[in-house]
Amino acid sequence: MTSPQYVPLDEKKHRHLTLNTAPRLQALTQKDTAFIVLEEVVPLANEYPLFITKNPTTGQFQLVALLGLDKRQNLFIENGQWQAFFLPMECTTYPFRLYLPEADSSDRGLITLDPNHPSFSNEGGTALFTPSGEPSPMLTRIQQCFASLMQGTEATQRFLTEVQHHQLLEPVTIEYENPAGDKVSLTGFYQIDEAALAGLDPEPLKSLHDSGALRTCYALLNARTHIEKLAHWLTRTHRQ
Amino acid sequence: MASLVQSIVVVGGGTAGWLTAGLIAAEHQSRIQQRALTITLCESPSVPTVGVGEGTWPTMRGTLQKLGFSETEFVRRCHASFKQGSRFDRWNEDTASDVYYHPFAVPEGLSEVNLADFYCIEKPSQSFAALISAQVSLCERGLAPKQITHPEFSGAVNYGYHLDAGAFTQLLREHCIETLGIRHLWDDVVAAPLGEDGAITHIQTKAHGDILADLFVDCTGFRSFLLGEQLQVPFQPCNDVLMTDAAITAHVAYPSPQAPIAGYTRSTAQEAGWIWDIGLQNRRGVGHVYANDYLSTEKAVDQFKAYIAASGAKVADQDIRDIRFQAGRRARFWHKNCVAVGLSAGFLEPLEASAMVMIELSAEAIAEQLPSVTADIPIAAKHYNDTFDYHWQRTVEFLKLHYVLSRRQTPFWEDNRHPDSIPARLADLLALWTHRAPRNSDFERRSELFQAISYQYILYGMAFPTATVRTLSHRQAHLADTVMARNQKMIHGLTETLPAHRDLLEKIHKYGLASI
Repeated sequence: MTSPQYVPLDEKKHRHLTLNTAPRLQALTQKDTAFIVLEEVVPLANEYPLFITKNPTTGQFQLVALLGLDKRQNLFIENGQWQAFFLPMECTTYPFRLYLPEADSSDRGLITLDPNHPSFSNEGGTALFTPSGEPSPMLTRIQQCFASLMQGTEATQRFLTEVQHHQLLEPVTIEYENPAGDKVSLTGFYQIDEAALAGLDPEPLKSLHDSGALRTCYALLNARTHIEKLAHWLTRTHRQ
Repeated sequence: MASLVQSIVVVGGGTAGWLTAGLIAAEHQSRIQQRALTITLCESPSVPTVGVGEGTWPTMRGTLQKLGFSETEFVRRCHASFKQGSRFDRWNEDTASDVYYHPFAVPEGLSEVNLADFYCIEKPSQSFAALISAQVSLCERGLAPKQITHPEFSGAVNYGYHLDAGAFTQLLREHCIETLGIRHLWDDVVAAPLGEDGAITHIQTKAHGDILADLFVDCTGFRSFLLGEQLQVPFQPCNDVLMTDAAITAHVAYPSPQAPIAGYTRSTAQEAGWIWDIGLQNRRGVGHVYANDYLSTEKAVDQFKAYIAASGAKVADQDIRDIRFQAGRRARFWHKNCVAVGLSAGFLEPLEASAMVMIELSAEAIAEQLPSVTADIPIAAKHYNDTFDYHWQRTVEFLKLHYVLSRRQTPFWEDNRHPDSIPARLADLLALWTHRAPRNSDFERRSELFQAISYQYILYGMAFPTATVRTLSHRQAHLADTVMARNQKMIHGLTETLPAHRDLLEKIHKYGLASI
């Protein structure tokens, strides 16, 4: 297999390209984590376990949705269907990638793709462009997602800085029972410290409320219950 | 009615002064805020600080946390790097392959099995340190002791720091004044008159008049202005044991901004002393400690330059500093209402970076045992002197150990092995260790500076022949195997995941470490 060659999305070159759902989902079956931005927390909290992890390259905190309980495990895909109403934007945009020319430049990001990715073909699936060369609704949605992801990074960092400032983060261990009945522990995760949040003085509490961070904190805490759902799915998959 | 200890004056604004003032202030912060205790540090604007050393022990992590520092800020401001231990070159036989490590690692399971027993019985081909600690591998590969995802002050393996002493003092000064509520005076102390009871009544300053205090801390460096000059506590040299008395030092540039940074202090033995080599982020600090009776300064400088040239760097004559010292200590560290910390208490050559840790220990002991009423000061003083007599003697012995074991042949080294120069307790222990490995029970204190494991690293790093008659029980042999197998596994895992030392330091500059 050759390594992927990403090229900028080009309305002329890729006019007749289509995106096929089945191979696209197939490629996502090994995606265990999705990086999310702040605005996704509240909608995704209804369906996904959400946590904070550290970026392995920079050590900076980041928001993630857990898709599986083990490496290269995505429990949200079953029988070729995504088992949730909302999709993390990072999954929606797959297999497109955003290319940022320079970290400090104001250039807009460039959407790129690997034309040889199995998700792409010239027939069937959903067209990237309309016959007249306009982005199709599907491509427009992907463009919007990339724009939201880019714009959301700053708000996400602001939120994470805010909760750190109030010392509201704590390292947590995710525990669940695997199909064999053994207790499994996952480390390297951080979560809002519920007790610290409850013990906040009125002043910082108000500032968290005013910035909207408070709502995000409770959404993150509520999303913890989905770990049990994932463990249940794991057991169910195992039995089949 | 008992008179409360309400005011402390620290004289001297070097590392010792600020660390001591800071640790006392941190421990007694609520009393300072209630104005029940004042700490004043008086620092001469005209006296330059020596900069006691640029190598710390892992204890510095706890010290920085107590003081309330962020590790990120400390690493950024002090050009600090991570130190995982010491490396000794040419100490044993003066050959290029004569290298051993004294890592900071304290392997788990040590309380249950003495790994040195195993080493002496089985005589494996690996070095003792490499057998039981992953740090030798990490040091040799230039890897950091932690990742960018580790919280501040914690790592995959044990570590201390290398730091820029001048920058560290500046950081301490700011923090102590702004955060810990220490009163700071830029002023010269001209006298410290004694009262009828022989204790210091106050200090006389040039610009701020007389300053009274219940307790005085002498951090005036080699001069020992309060304890030595005013209180006349005599100096007790120990140059019959540790014979070096001079050092030439220089800052050396890296060949390129990307050059690797050593994660250990390198000590290379010389004709009549040894050369230290410490890698900071922005430069190396190198120094040649030698005995002037055995080596002229001119020759010492030549050897120093040759070492630097061989390491691929250069040094100009005008950048070389020359320091004279006498190894030794004040007869008492705490006398009446004055306690000396740092060089004013005593000086030993910087082998094993004992200077900074001794300051930390002293400051902590003063903070922890701070007498509540002036009447208790003599009791605290006695306790303190007993403790630090012990630490001092053990430190002298541990440093001496490095010399005693050498097989180098020049007069300096031969004289260092002369039985008259070896402290009796060390000689006794060495006699015991020819028949069995050092064990924890050889060192009786709870907070022993150098534990049995440190002695083992040095002894077996220098090929000390312990002909043990001991055997391991089945259980102990199994435990030893477990510890060593775990270590091999750890080496494998860590060398895969830990970043290059310089890369991590650059990331800390760019992104910082999180506190959790």
